[in-house]
Amino acid sequence: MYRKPPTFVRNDLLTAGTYNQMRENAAVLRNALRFEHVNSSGEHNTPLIARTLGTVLCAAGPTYSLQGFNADASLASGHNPSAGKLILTLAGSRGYEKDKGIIQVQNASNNGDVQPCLSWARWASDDKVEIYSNRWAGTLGSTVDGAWDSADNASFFVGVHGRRLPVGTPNDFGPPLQRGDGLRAGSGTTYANQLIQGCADLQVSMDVGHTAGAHDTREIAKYWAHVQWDGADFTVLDEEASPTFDAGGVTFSSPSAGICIGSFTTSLASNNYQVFIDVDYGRLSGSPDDYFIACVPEDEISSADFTVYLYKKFVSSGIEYYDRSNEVDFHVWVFDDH
Amino acid sequence: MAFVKKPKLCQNAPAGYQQINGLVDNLDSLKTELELEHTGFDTASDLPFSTIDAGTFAGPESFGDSFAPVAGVHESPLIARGAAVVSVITTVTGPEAPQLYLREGCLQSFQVIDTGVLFFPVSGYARVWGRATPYGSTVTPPLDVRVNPSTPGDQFGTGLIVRTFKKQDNDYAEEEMLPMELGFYLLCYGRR
Repeated sequence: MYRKPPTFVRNDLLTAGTYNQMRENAAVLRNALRFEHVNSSGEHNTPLIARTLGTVLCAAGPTYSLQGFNADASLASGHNPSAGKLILTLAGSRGYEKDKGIIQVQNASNNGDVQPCLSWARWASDDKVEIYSNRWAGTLGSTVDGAWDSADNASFFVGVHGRRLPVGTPNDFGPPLQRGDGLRAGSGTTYANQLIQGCADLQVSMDVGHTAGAHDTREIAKYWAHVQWDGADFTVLDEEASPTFDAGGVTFSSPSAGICIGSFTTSLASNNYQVFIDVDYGRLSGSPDDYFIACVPEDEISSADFTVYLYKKFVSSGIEYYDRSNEVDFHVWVFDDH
Repeated sequence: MAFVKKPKLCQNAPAGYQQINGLVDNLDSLKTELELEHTGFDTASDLPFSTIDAGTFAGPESFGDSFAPVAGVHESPLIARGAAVVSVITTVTGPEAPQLYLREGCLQSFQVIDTGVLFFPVSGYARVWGRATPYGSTVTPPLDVRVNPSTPGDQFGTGLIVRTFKKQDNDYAEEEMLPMELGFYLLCYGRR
């Protein structure tokens, strides 16, 4: 159990009991850190946090490149085996296992500003994930039947989660002192030095992915908001920003139906960040049964803002079609590297 | 107070009270940092450390809220509280048979509450929300999975309601299970 010893003053005697309490405190902190971090490296280590996360950029051709991912992800050989399909290779011995990890994908197709786009993913093997994209090939607002079978070469925001890794050898804080042991000579000095070094190593681990305790790694969101259409504009129902989020905050506005711009309070250093959307339902203007698709075109990601396109499904005489609409709430996450 | 590594002690040199205070403060500083976005030590229990201290700890799959609150668990609305990989095995005429391939944290079980609609109960949070990505087919595009929060006053209580959709002719029918071998990856977030 963690108990902070009282502050020492000159000539106070450091007893074995107090020394051992400090040692126990170090062990308590070490074990807490080891629960969801790799001890040796400080890396986050839980299936609830992505092990690698970034943007798959699609340019004309198509040619693909990665942005923001750590060394765990790379483009597989033949990474674009067919239209609308992309394969990422994942590093071995990093906890990735087929069907035992979360894959998050947000469609970031540059067609997402004019047509609703879908994306989905699957594990092909322990070291390969496949990502697909598809767009609705119809005219917005037209009741002429459209089709979904248009494979779309697209950009994506992707996060891949692995299973827990072995946490590694625990920090060594040396043995406890026995009654009568001192720190001034012999083994007592060695023990004390082990405790000092062990605490320093623990702090080094803690500093990986954290700044003064606040998370500062790309794999953990820097900002989340529940955004509501209030009938006139988008407003924030609830939000959370990391102390390390350089943008400070985000405001949301709609220049026209079905378009929501998220503007950062302070521009980020670059457009190397990722946005994920979960469409909720219309709490105010829309109906809970409305169906929406959200797209975040990569080419509208800038250091100052990002744009979310919201498409609503309509049915007319048995024909399904889509059009832009604001009448929905959504959740938004922003991932950045510090 | 920021962590400042203390100089090592030398044989026969006195371990001055300032040195000891520095070490105490270092530990307290680290505790403060850990408690910022991880479950703290005043409200959480200790862990079965022997497993972790063996250095090979890589599970079990289900921790999180299946334990009493544990010191060191991430504690932030920005980090998922639960995760699930859900396989929805169904055929055109066959029964729905959803399964959990992975359950982690607050997502431990679900109920089928309607055709194509699953409810994941979550306890211990004042409100929850989530995000899902569909998975499965190499040829048939699944429509986005919709995740709606359910609040304590709702019919099923606190949790996530996930609606899946399947292709029907050229369109998609609402609230229908996905075709065979499709499913979704689900993350749950929450505030305590």
